Amino acid sequence: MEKNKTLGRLFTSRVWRSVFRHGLPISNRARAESVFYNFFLHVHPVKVRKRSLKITYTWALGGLTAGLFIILTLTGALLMLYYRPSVSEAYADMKDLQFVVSSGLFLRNMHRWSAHAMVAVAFLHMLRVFYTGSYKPPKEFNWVVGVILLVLTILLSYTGYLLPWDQLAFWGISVGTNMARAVPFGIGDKMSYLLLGGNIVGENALVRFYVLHCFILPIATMVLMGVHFWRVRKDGGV
Amino acid sequence: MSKEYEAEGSSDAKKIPRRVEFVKDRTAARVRQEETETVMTVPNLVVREIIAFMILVIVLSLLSLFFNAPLEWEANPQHTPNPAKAPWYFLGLQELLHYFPPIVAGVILPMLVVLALVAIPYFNVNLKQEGMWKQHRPQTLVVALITIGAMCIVLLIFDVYAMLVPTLVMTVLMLIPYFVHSEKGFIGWLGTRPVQWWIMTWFVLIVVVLTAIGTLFRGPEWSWTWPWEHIY
Amino acid sequence: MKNQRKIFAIVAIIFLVILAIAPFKGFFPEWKKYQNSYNDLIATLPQKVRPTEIGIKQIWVQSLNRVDRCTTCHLGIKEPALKNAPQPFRTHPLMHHDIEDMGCTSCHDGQGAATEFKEAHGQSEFWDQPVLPAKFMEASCGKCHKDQEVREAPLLSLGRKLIAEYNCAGCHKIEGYSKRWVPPLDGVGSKVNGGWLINWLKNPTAYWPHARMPNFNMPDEDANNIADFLKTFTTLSDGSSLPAIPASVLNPADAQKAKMLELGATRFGEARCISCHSVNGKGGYVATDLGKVSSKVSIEWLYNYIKSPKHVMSNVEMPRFRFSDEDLAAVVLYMKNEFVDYDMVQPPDHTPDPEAYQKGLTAFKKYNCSGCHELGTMNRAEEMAPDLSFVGSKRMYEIDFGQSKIDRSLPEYIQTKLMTPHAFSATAKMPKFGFTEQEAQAITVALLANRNESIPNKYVRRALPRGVFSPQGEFGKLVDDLACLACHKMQGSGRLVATDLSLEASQAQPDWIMNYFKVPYSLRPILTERMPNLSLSESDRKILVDYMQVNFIADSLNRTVPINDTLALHGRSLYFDRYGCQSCHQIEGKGGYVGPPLDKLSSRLKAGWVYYWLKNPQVFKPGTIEPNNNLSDADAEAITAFLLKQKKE
Repeated sequence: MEKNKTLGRLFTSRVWRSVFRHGLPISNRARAESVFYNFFLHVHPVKVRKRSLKITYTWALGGLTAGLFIILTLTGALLMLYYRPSVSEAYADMKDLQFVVSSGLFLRNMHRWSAHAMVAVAFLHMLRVFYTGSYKPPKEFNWVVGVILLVLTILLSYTGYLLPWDQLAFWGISVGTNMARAVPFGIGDKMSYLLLGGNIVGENALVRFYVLHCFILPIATMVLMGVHFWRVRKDGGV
Repeated sequence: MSKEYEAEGSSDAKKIPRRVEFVKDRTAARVRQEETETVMTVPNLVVREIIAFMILVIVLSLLSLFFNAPLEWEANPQHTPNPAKAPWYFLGLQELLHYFPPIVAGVILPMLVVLALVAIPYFNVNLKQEGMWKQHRPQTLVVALITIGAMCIVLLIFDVYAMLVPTLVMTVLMLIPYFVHSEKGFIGWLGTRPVQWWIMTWFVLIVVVLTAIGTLFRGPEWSWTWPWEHIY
Repeated sequence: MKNQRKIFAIVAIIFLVILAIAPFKGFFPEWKKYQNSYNDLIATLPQKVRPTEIGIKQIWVQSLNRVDRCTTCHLGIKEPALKNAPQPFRTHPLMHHDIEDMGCTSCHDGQGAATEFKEAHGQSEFWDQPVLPAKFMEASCGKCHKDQEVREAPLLSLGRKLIAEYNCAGCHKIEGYSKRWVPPLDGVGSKVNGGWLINWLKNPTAYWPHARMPNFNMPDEDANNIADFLKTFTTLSDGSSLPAIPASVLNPADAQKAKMLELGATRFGEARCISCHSVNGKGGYVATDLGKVSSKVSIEWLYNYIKSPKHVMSNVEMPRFRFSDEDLAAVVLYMKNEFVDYDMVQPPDHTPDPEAYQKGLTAFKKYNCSGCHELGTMNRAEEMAPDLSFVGSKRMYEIDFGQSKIDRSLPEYIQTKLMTPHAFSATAKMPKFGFTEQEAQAITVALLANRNESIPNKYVRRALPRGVFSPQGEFGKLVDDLACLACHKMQGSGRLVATDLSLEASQAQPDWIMNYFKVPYSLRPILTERMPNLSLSESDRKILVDYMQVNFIADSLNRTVPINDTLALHGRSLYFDRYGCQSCHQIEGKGGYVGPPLDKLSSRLKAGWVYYWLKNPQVFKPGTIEPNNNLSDADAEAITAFLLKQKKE
């Protein structure tokens, strides 16, 4: 079986076995074990229905949304290295990203397009779930978690929209927060004041959006994604 | 089919067994065993997931290599661009704001939409996914027409043709299977669409139309502008 | 299922390739190409030039908050050997500032942070300050050099002068400019002829090609209404009417007339009116042209105006000549007879609109006439046109180019707007000033300097704010009455048509000044502006000279120079042989005409002045063509002695 002795020795070495408790997935037993023992794979059941592997069954939309989230986290972390959330520096940092940071422009493009794609794909995912009736009992709660995740996705995109500090960003956010002001009884004003840290979009708003975008919202999304996947698994999905 | 097969929705597995087979009208009375052919997750599913992820990265990378993310002038609070637009996913709302008072467009409607979405699974409406005109045809028609009519009047009062037209299109599509009886083809397919399908599709159509108008067809002062006649 | 492995393999390869391309792309930026060809280029040069290290280069000027990466490609800026190299490697021509101190974009504009051609030169949509075209380059000087006159930037200086002269501040708010005096309109009803007024309103340049009043492209109706409206203002600003004038001027007897005209012509010449005024284009440029004045103003007004200019027109800069009644009548009659506009076309008769006053007032406001002209309490209107304080920072999205086909750039917009105000909108309110292309370019340059940029104080050069010199007492009254400051400068105030008088008493002998007032002669034969004969009385002249002796004198210029023959002889050889002064000045009957003749110098100048002037003329008269020869003290003394000995020979 083992063509290569060195590799064989590696796979049976103590260190390797301490990391991967299962053998190579060449036997069904090892395949099952890799799902049991691997943290990343344990969101899946050991066996899946063949039907659900068909691409037209889910259009892979949920998985793509998760994939986009991973891409966004990675590119976002790299962008954070070059970006300072301050009115005087933010725009200049965008220019530096574009002109002098190695692959900076690529990172930013990737982050931007992935963000737009994630909103769209998450929405499509919701439609798919609706049209296949996958929200029906016992999956009601998971549908609710999904709706919250969609809202979080939009909020993530929206908070990131301000960070380049260009005209598009500034006025996009101003228009958006002005919409929120329409909430009656002064609640809207309070809400937008809380969000912006003032009455207009300025330095405070930039810092708040930065913290929301890079810390609070991603954490919340990750936790809810965990719940979402867990429920999918428990309710018999892939 | 008679009442005893009516499914009950609940997530309490103790009271009601979890898996419910819905017996639709057109299926034979005998319950076929669920197709349960399964395969190992590793490698079948995992490999597909990895392929999907790689294709995603490839597509996005190509996109990023050829199209640059927009970066406009530095923010200038002194100068409002005309029109000032929110991110594209809010442009449907912004378009609504053009028709309705802010409290309706900016607060009530979005709240209703989110609440409706959250509430969807908790209304056990038509769990069997029966076609809309399957039962109580005249009553359904009266209720549907009154609801749609009332909505259209509201839309007419506010001059919201952007919503009125999709609504009418959907209404016409919905009424076709009522008058034309056919089991086959597109009309047959329409006839099997349940009521919640019609509502959701109508909602999606409205969202798409409003977002598209807001994104592509709105110029200075939020006036109608064709995408090719942008100033500059 | 079966193909899963193949698909996986293919996708994985594409995935890895694409992931590799992205960072790989960064290894071949545009600028590397330029740096490599720079190194190739200098290898071909005969001179030894240090090759550049491959990498992004930048100049960071912290105090200006600029990062300029221009030198990444513009590699030869400081390299004299590349004087004729192709761009982007060519040597920078004469550089007035240290590049490390200023960066590049603070003068040239463009996007300093960028490292790609299009972006760096600001040709992308979202960068509003593209590299300044050479013809507007001086605009950048004006960002820091706030003085009126910037010697190295003639176009900027011209533009600033024109902005002041054409009273742009009448309608626009422009930092550093206040509204200029323009003839007030009180009493205009008894001043000008109605037909002339309509013609003037419709097209000022038809009367006088260099009129500063712009052409408002006024429809007949508005011109008629404004004229009718203005004709109702017959009383002077103090409420009085024009005093009646002697019958001898109005209706001179035929026998007398010829004599009077002859006398008038003589007095007109003697008074040297054309030092300031021109007659059909010939003469001075300080005041208006007189060539057609008799078709413009009434004889009553002209008589009273010459008699007492400031009474008739407040704050006008015209000296009150001390003509006798007879002379005055003769001069006025002469002018009435002589300066007629024979080509004037009377505008068609119009029946005054019954609501002409109201409509005229509306039109008067519509054209913002009161932006420049004072009229009663209407005074100066609020700025009605765009604020130009930061016009140089205007964004492209703030400019409406209308249907115009010009280049989409701010400088082109401003220049076009200045030359053809209606180029962008048919309803634009701005009138047409008839600027030449060069004038429009100069004004554009001056306007582009008005940026909304914070520039640290250490960069800013600004002429010290001048206090306004307004002498009091008898001297003050005379200075006002004689409008000395219209031509002379005193203590930083006034215009520099004639000499600066601030050190006059250190310079000239009091007796000479007394005589000069009596019979002014031109020191420099080639100058056109000459001191008019103001016919001052003995006591007036004394007041002026006494004041100067106390105030226009500097003790530091007091110096006695031993005047003896030996020294003078030495000075003479220095004058002729060493310094060659005779090439410009006349002495002993020979020499040039550029400078004033020096024969009678000792009766005019004081020794101390001559001495210090010789040592450094530019201190006293910036821009004088007299060279600074860096004379030693001894040489200066010798030449001074030589020059002051002249009287005796």
